[in-house]
Amino acid sequence: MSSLNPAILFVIGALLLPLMPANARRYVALLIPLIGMALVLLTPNGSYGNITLFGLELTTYRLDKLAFVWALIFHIAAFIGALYAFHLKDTVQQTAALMYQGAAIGAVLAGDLLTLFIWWELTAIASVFLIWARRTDRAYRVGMRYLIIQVGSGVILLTGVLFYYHDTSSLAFGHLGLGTTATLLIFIAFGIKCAFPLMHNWLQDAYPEATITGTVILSAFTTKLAVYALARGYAGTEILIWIGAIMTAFPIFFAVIENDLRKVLSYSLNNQLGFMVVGVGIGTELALNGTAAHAFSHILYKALLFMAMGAVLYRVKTIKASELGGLYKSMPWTTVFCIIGSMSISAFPLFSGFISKSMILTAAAAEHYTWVWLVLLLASAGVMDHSGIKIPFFAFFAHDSGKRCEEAPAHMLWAMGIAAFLCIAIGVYPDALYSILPYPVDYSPYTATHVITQLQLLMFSALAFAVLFISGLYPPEIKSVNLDTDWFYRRAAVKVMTPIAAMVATASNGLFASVGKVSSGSISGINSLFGPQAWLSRTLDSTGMVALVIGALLIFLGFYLF
Amino acid sequence: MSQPGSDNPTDQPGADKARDQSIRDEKKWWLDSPANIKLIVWALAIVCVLLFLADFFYHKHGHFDFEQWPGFYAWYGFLSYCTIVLTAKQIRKLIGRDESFYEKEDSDTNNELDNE
Repeated sequence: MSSLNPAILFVIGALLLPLMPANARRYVALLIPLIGMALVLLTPNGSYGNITLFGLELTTYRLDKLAFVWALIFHIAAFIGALYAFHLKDTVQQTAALMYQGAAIGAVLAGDLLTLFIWWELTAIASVFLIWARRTDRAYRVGMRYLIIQVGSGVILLTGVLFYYHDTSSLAFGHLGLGTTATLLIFIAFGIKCAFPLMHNWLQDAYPEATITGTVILSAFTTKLAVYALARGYAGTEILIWIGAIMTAFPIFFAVIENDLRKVLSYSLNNQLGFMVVGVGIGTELALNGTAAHAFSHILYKALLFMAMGAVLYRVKTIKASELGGLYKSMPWTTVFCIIGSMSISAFPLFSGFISKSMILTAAAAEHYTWVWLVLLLASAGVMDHSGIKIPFFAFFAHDSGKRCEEAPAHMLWAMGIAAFLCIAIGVYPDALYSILPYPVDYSPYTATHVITQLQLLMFSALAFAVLFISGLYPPEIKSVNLDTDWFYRRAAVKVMTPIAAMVATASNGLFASVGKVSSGSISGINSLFGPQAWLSRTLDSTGMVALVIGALLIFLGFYLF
Repeated sequence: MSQPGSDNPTDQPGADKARDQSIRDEKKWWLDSPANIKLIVWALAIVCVLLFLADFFYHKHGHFDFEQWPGFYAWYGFLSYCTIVLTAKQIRKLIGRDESFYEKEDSDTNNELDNE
């Protein structure tokens, strides 16, 4: 019984949810992650749910040390998300959330590539409803863009899987590595979901436009599923080190000048994924442990930060830095939780980011990737800016915006409180997390060198902020949007395609018009011969008919004779 | 941002005044005093000086030689931070656009249908 796939539980729950009364729905959404977690904890590592479909051997449920880390944190995130969304009566969001969480868990537990593909696509389709649930035209358009890219990733994955099956006659989801067209396609599919540079912009486009609770839920699953898939299939693939290093660095610049604070967090999410991708690329035991640990702690502090910003949006109705400030007076608890999230993501000692990120940096240094290490260090200072300082400072402090509101609702505070507690617990007692990592951990984060150097990095970054802010050099928060690669498909492509589309329209109109002329000409010709008033249609008297037939027969006879 | 025609009562000028008055009447918070802000900045500066000096009192374990330079992490952090923020400020001139560049509609929750 305990080998029941928790993903199935989520999907059944999601399907039954619309039949339940509103009050029951929110308790079911809370209960399912807990039952699912119990199922995963009680199941010994192994392969379950082996089925043969059209001659294909599928392992629908594979639990091992790597999958366990992700399965566990996904359940925790699902529970925290459900608690945060406890006020919702919206069936669409509740159903979509459960379905999406279940799909992500199913994908992590998939032992073969076909099962992975099915769950992979379900995450895309279920999650878009968390964006559409805002029920605005804008959200509709954003959702469409998001869906096209997400489903596109799935289609590329399926193509790669089919090639892979053709090459190897196997669907097992183990180490793939680059080298063939098949594995390259699968790599690209993973890369899109992981928001690799230049494939990243769906994330910053879509996440800030989802509902208040939707963004919190979205932030935990899709991209971390992609990190898991990379860790499973492409550990030690060197190009990932460089891709990851770029990912840690470039989103920072966008985050610094972004006004929408949920979008700042989306860029920050992208930057955090970079650290994990570097870890996968290095591929040593320490690095992969670092990636797993960082995914675990990242999901918690990122959800915490999105929850805090969601609470602000819920109460103040805006999340633009230019409109906010001074909210610590109205929302003291949210402020405290947000600062805990900020200190975790900035990797202050005693907070969760410190004990996981330092593993990846140490792994990079141990393998002598000097430049990568320097980029990661620069990115760490950048994290201190956009997530460590900018988010709490401009929302809760800075100049007083004069906005006064109530504190966040109790269930939101509880959700934030649990996430904040876990952020600190992991930071203070890292051995608990280290004990579930894929490889044995021989690493101690709390050495004098680590603690002092990290504090130097962070406090001098804070000092730099103070200097820049007081001297007026710090870029002010202004109402604006910033162009990113989405410009190419939202503007450039539209600009280029519009005249082409117009030309096609004109050409096809012309074509159809001439076709119309020809056809209407021939129709009128036919009409004049066979139409109601035409000579051939006229009702002739029988003599005339006989004469016509005889005439025709005479002509045939003539042909026959000569 | 308040929009014309918005039905939010706090957007009325009279309500604005009343709100300003109520904010003035509020209790003063510790952070409201500029002297206390100055105190925080000084505290930060002192912490930084102490952290810098700490480098001379312990043996640093590092993988790279340059990590042994006194205060390497301190000035690397300071310079990285300034570089990032000031570069981003320049990038903004290039890629910054008006808020309504893509969408006329606001992304705030005002125009959302009630779905709670």
